[in-house]
Amino acid sequence: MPCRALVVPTPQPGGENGARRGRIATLSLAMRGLESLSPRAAARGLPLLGVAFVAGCSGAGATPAPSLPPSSSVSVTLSDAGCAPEPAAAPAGEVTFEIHNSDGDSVSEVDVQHADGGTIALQQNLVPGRSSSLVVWLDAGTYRVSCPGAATSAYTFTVAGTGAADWQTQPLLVAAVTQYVAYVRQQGSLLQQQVQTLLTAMQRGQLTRARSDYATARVTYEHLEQAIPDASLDRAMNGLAGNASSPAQFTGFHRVELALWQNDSTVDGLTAATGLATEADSLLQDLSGLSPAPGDITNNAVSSLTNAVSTRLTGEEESYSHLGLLMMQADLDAAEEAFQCVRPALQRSTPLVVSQLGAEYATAQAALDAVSSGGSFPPDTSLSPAQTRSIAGAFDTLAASMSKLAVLLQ
Amino acid sequence: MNRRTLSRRRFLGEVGVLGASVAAGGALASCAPAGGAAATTDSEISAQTVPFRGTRQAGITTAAQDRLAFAAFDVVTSSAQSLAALLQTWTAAAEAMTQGQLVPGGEINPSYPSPDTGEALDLTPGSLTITIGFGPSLFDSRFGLSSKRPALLQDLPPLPLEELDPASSGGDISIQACSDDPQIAFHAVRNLSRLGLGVVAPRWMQLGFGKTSKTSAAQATPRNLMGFRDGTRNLTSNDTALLDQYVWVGEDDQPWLRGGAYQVARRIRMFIEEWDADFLQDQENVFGRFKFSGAPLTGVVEEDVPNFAAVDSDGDLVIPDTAHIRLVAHEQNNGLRILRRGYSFSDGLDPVSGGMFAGLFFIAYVRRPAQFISLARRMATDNLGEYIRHIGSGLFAVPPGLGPGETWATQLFS
Repeated sequence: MPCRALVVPTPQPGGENGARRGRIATLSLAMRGLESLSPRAAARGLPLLGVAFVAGCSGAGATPAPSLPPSSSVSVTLSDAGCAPEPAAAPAGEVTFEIHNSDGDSVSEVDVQHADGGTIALQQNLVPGRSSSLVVWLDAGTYRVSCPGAATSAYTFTVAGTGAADWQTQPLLVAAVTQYVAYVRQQGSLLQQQVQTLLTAMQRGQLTRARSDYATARVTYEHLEQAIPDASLDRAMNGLAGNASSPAQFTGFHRVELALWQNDSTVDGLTAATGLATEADSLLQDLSGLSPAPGDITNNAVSSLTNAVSTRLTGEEESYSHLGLLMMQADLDAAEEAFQCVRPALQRSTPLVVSQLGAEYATAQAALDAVSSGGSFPPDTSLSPAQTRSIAGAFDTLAASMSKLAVLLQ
Repeated sequence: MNRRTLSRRRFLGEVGVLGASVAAGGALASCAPAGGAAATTDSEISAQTVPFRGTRQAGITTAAQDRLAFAAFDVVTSSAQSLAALLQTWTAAAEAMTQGQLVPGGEINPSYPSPDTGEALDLTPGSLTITIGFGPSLFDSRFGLSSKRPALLQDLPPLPLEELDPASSGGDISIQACSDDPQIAFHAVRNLSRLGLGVVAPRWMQLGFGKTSKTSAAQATPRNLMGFRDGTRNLTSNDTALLDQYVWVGEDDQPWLRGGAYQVARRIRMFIEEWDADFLQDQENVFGRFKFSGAPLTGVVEEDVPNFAAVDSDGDLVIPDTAHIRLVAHEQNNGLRILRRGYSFSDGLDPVSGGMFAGLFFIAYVRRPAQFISLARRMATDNLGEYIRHIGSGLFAVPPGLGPGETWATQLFS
C-alpha cells in the first residue's frame, strides 16, 4: 500500500454543521482571508465554540488566585533508639519531613506509611551524619513514621482537618472545571454530528468526502478522548486491529479507516460507522455526568501529549490513513485548551510556570509547523529521524511540565 | 480528597506514588520494615558510597565499577540561564543519587509524577559515580562560553580504523554513570535526562556491562570481549606522579578545567565472529600477549614487563612489530600514558550481517587530547585493525571535583 499524501479536508462552504475544530478550523479560516490572526487566536475566536468555553478558557480571570495549601515541617532525628517525629501531628496538606541521622549505626531508612503499613514515601541510605528531606502530601488520617532496625521502629503521626482549601470553594478552580466540562461536552456534541455526517457520506458511497469526514471526526475525538469516563467505550470507538480479540471485534474509527484507505471502500466500513454513531450517542450521555477535579484537566492533557508521542508519532494509530500528524495537532490543541482552562488559576500564584508552559507550548507548535506545508501535514511516515526527535522532545517536555500542575490545583 | 477522583491515574492515589512502582495494592513487602532494605547495614552502605565532592570528580581514578551508563546530550535551549539552572539541579540530583538517596525536587503527591522514577529504590548506593564533561560544541556562541573554551578542546581529527556514525558521536555534555549495579547506573542517567527535558536532549547513549580496565592496583585485570586481559599496564590511582603528568590538567589550561581532565569516548565495534575464527597463536600475536595467562609473549606471568627487543631463534621479534601492546606501550611512545576506563558492550545484532553487535566502549582520561590522538595513529598498523572499527566518538572536558557548596553551574559559569 503506497503512502498517500495527506490533504487537509477541504472546508465545506458555510460549514454545514459548523463542526470543524482545531487545525482544520484554523486552516479553513486562513483560507477565507483571516491570515492576520494567529492560528491560536483564530481558533479561539471562532464562533463555533461554545460561549462558556470561549469566555472561560481564554478570557482574563478577574477573580483572585487560589491560595496554595499550607506546608508544615516535621523534624525527624534518626538514631538507634528510634525516629520520633517532632511534632507528631500536622494539618492536612504538604508535609516536609526533615530527617537527620545523628548517630544511628543500625538504622539508615525512614518510611512514611499509611496506618496499615503501605509505604507512601521513604528515604534510604541515611548513614550517620547524613540529612535529607521528604516532602509528602497527606490527607487527614493516621500515619506511621517508621525506621527499620531502631529500638522503637514505628511512630504514630496524625494529620488533622482539611489543610488544603477545597477546590470547590475556589472560584477560579470551579470556573476551570466548569469551562473544561463545557468544552468536553461540546466536543461530544460535535462528534455526534460529525460521525453522523461520516456515516451519511459512506451510505452515499462518497469515498473522498468520507475520508475528509473521518479526519474531521477523529480530530474532535482526540480533543475529548482523555476525558471519556468509560474506558470500554474508548476501546470500542478507538481500538486498534491488533487489540481486538477477533476480526469481528475490530470496530470503531480504525475499522472505518481501514475500509476508506486500505480497501478504498465505503461499503466495507458501514457496520463500523453505524456502530460509531451509536457509540457517539452513548458517549454524549456519559459526558453529561462528567465531574473532573481540577487536576484531572491537566493530567488529561498530559495523556494527550504522551499518547501523541507513543502512538501517533510512531504511526501506530492512523496506520492506514497516515493522518498521525494531524492527530498530534489535535492532541496539542486539546492540551492547550486544558491549559487555558486552568491558566487563570495558575497565573497569580505561579506566573513563572505559566510563562514557561507558554514557551514550551510554542516550541511544540513550532516543531509541528516545521513539518507542515501550506497548512497540510505530510504522512506520518515521511518524517526524518531529526524531525521525529524534535517533535517528540517538544511534546515530552510540555508533558513533563504539565504533569506538575495537578499539585498546584488542589 | 479530590485527588482520589483523578480519572486516568486513579490507582496512584490508592497505593502511593512510589509504592506503585514496587508492588500493587497494599502488598508493599519490599518496603516494609522486615524487607530487604533494612537488611543492608550502614557499614555496607558506607562501603558502597563513593564521595561525590572532592579534589577530583569521582569516576576517573576511583575504583572502576562493573557497569556503565553513558550518555551524550545536546543543549536544546538557547538560554544560558536555563542551562545554568539545570547544571545546578543536576548537581543536587547527582549528589543525592550517589549517596543512594532519592532524586530531590518536590513533594511526593499522588496526583503528579514522583520526582524519582523509582527503579533504584531498595538498592544500595552501588558505588555510583556520576562524572560530567563538556564537549567542544558547548563553547560556541550560544551560551557566552566561547572565552572559556579550553584551547585543546577541539573535535578530534580523522583517525585510523574509524567509520564514525554521527548518531553516536559528539554532544555538548557527557554523563558517565558507573555502578556495581546496572540498574543504578541506568537510573542515574535516566533521571538526569528527565530533569533535563526542554533544556538538553539525549544525543546518544551507551550501556556497558563489564569493565575492561582496572583503575586501582587492588583490582584484578578484567578481560575484554576478545578474551584478553585489558588494562594490565593501565595507570592506577597509586600512580600520582604519572597522573599529574598525563591525566590531570595543569596550570596551562582554562582555570575552570585545572585539576580536571579530557575524556575521550570511543565506541569500538569488534567483529567478534571473525575474531573467534582466528587461530589462537595469531590472536596472541595480534595483542602480543598470551590469551589465558595474560603474560606478554616474552614473559610468564601477567605482570612481567614486555621485552620489546627479544627475538626468537629466527631473529624475528617475539612481540611482533604489529602487536597491539608494542604499538601503544609507553616505552615505544616516549613514555606517553593514558588512563583507560572502558566497558564491554553488546547492542543486539548487526541488522545487516546478523553478527553480534558488540565491542568496547573505550573511555580514556588524558591531560591533553593529543595523547590519545598519537596512540590512535600508531594503531594504523595494528593487526587489531582487522577486527575492530571505531564507530562513535566524543571528546569532553571534565572539570575538577566540586568543593562544598559548589555546583557544576558555578564551576562553568562563574
